[in-house]
Amino acid sequence: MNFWKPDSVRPYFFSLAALRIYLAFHLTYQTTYLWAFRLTLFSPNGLYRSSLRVLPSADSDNHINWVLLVTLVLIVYEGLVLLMAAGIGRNWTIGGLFLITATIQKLNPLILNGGHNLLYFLLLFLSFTDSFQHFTLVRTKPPGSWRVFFSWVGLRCIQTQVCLVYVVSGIAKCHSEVWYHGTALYYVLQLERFNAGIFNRWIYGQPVIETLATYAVWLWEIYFPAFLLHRYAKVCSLAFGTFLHLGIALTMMLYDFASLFIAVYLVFLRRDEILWICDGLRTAWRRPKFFFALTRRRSSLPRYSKNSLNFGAACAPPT
Amino acid sequence: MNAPLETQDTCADKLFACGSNRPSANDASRMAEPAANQVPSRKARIAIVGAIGAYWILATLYVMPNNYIRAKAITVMEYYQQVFFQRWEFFAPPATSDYRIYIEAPEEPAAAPVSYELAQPLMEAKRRNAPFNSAETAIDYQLSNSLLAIEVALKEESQNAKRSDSSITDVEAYRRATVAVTSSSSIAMSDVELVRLYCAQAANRLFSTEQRRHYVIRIARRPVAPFRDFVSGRPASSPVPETLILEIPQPP
Repeated sequence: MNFWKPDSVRPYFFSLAALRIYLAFHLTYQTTYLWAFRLTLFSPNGLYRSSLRVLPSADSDNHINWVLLVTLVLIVYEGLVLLMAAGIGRNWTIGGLFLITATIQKLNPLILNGGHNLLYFLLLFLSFTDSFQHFTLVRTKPPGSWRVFFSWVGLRCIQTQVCLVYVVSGIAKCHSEVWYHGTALYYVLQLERFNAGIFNRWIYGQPVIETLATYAVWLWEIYFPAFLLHRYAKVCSLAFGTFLHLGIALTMMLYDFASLFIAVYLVFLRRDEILWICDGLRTAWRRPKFFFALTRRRSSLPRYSKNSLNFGAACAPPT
Repeated sequence: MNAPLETQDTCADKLFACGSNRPSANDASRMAEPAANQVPSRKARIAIVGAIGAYWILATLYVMPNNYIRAKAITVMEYYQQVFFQRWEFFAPPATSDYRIYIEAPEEPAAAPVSYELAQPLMEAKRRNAPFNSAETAIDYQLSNSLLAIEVALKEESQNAKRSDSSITDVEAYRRATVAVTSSSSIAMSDVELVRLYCAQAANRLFSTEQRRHYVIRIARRPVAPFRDFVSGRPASSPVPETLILEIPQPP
């Protein structure tokens, strides 16, 4: 089975590189956020009084030192993000980013959501994966056997982690009355914390849609790994997940959470599959009849050939 | 006849090639030779895959629902969560109520108390300013997670009180729990302090100097309107009352 062969990672080098670029944008947004609210989030004069707090009080004599320290940490953090985007420092850069991210997350755990939790594991697994075969400023050598092996381990870990997230979330819902009776979506969208005011009022008056959507989300989460086994089911499942997370972003105001979960779907798509989807979208953009355009395309979803492993020059195996 | 898709230069291929240090799919002749690295030995590969496999067994054990095996491995789980903490039960079960934070002070001179609610205006501002609501989100996350931690601590302290003295009533156990949670040695001390600080900032704006000395904080839950009746299909009309969770007095 290809899953267990380290060479099966080669078609995914493109996806891993694309994920690295996305993470650079994501972390830049987070740095900006932390910088803007550093007084509220980390200052001893802010709301949270953590036992981990090592920074002196802002009104003490060490105020200047504190400002310097925060400035320094965030500059180093953003510097590493830029290096990661450029592909400089390779796995060491991502390892450094992982350590700083873990430290920042421990400083104020109250502001974390599921997206931050997934980000922690993504950076950890990406730190021993070769995501530098595309989109780098410096030319990188084709990966040797060890790099391919560790990339395979990292890729499978990321994929397993995402599957674990959905399956655990789905199983936890099984013993919940509101999911069992199909009313969970109604309650979640009614909460003030997650009510963006978009669609929520309309959905409130649509009990059939609420019920069907609740069951659809629940079943999709439980069977997420099973959908990955078939190539068309996989693309449909990832499309469903993309729309689900877009909905979460729009209606529940969880923007960074949703965008990270959409981006992480890249690790399930081989290079040829991504190109196939991009071509389809590009054709659809040119032609207003979206579905008609997709069905009239000359090629179907590319099939994985385990003998040839021919995914273009960028993914060629070592000879 | 068309060539196989893998060897065609598709539109997207050209698009992505601009950022790549690799040649396009058709340009196989420019493919660099792979580095002549040593092939990992079978033993090394088995050892690494074994270690990763052990990690995933622990991870699965950690995230699974509480059961006999997990309970027996509680020490290992505690070590595991120091580094690999993860929690994925998104809205399972979903919250069915909103928090309410009241600050209440006696009106001068000794008439009906003045009361303000602080949570709803914050959520309203968060909704109004979306998607540029990072400031409100930062406060909302800290406040909501603290309130949740306080509620969990109250439950734990209530159970502890019942365990230590089985003759006490639920009301008495709850009273003892509130005292324990608001004390300085509470496990939710940082969370109680956070709520106190947030309320103090609001009280500075809303109350007079005299009122600031005597106000109390009340945390309550306001359930959302229940889902419509399954048979008639009508929305539930009866309003659900708020329930008080905790009253936090001013520290002496």
